Amino acid sequence: MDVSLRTSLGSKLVLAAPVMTASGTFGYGDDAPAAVDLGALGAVVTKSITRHPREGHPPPRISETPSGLLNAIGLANIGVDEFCRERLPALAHIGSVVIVSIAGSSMDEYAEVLSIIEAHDPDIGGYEINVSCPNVAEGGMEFGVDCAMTESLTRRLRDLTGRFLMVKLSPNVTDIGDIARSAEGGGADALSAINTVVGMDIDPASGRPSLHTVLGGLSGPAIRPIALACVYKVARAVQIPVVGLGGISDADDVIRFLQAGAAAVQIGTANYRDPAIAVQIIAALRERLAGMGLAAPSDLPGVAA
Amino acid sequence: MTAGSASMAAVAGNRADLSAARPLFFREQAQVLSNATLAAGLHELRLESPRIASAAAPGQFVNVLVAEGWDPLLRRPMSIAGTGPGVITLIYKIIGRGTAAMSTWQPGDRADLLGPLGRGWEVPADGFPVLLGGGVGIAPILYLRQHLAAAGRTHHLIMGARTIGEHFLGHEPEAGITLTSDDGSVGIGGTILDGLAHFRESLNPSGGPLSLFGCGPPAMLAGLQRLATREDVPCQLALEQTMACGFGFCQGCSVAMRPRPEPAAHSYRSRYKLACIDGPVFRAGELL
Repeated sequence: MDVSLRTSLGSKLVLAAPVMTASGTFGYGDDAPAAVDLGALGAVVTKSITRHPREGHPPPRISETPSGLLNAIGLANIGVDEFCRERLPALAHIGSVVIVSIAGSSMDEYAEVLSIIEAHDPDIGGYEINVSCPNVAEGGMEFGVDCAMTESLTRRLRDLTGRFLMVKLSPNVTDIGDIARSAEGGGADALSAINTVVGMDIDPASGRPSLHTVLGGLSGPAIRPIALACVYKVARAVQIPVVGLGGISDADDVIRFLQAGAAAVQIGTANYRDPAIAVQIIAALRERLAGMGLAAPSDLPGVAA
Repeated sequence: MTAGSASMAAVAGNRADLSAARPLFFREQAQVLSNATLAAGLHELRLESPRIASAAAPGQFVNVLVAEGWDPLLRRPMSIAGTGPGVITLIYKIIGRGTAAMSTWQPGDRADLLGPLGRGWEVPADGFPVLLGGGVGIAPILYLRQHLAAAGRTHHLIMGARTIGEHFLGHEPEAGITLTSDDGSVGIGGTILDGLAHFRESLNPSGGPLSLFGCGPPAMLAGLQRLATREDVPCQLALEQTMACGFGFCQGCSVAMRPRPEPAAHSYRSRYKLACIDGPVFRAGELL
């Protein structure tokens, strides 16, 4: 059976496949080695862009845990000016939809970054808002852990662009469904879930934390069940499409997230094993759906009660 | 692949973020040719890996998949210790789950590699090359030595270990090989820095200009860096750093650089560079 992987995320964005590469795990969009067929990807989400270049945190920034990766990179990135000047023009030609991830330490910073990109009238699919950033004005509380901050930040950016706007939810909240509804209320076109899970590790011999920042974000297959539960909750809380991520490593994982209510997924940490893995997962997904006798991902049954 | 295009591939693999070209490295299913004990605690793995072998340059590394499942999650970066026609050699020490898994590989097994990765040694035209390898840090040093030998460039190798059983070469200073051992059981008793001091006194008494290349444990690298700074000797160091990807995606392998006199208010990869794409070889003077 011919399988069509074409996927709509609302009225503003159509993907060739329901699989994207996740922010911070795939460079700025065209950094993968030449052998990776970027055109096969549903979308590429860039590293989070801030107003100014950022060095990021001192080492150590990463640490391996059972089936997982702890990281505290600190939003190291080239900044929006260099991004627009040096990277954005080429992203129109990679053959895949590009979604630009935006981060900031104040609402003004997010708004400024988005406005600067918009002023270039770029050929991009839209934006993903990284709300897992400390809000300096609120004593460093992350935007994404508070309903009011999430809604007002989303609305502020909504007013600045007609493009596809997706808010990336943090799992480190009391009720991710509440935050999801706030982002939807602020005008988001879609939600992605989840960002990394707060984690920590210690070297028992020295008593030292494995990361310079002590706390970090856990990713990889270790968090897949957490992510799946979050996607399930979010999909039941909102009407807009949900993009699932968290430890997805193969086509079966993609199917799990689609069954939990996601319209599409992102591949993150697995890219570190192989920058071509998202392309391979898309091919495997097509085969799996054909094997199940399904014509499209949307034909997958939901969660069996 | 010709030698010319091989070196281009190596260079393209190290491009800065701003280059228009996409990087060139390969995922290759290499075949294990041999996996043997080289000396106490050191193992030598020879792999048939033609694409990586033809593109690699001394100082570069491969990222080795050590598990078929997802635990351990990350590949293990390993310096290339040498190349032959279609073959690369790795030298490793069993320190954790990843290297323990590698030690079970048998001839004929497949090893999943990404490479060649990183920016390797730069060999200046002047200065007598002194190559210093401590412990498992000998790997990128041996590859550089192979390169210098092939180019007919005389050089001196100083290899350090704790004791004679950890050595696999002979102490032959007149033939360009000095060994050191912490316990004095072979070669010069003491550290690799003692070996360097001995070389300078006995084999380079005229004090001709040197060019140092070092890889080894942190204390050795710190000592070399101090000496190179104090005496203004050109010195490159290959660093070991935990990596998730090895090609710049994760930004995890940060290395602290010496602050600039007038640092910019905002910068990227100036205060912290990445071992995978800015290194693993750095000039001693730029490191913090």
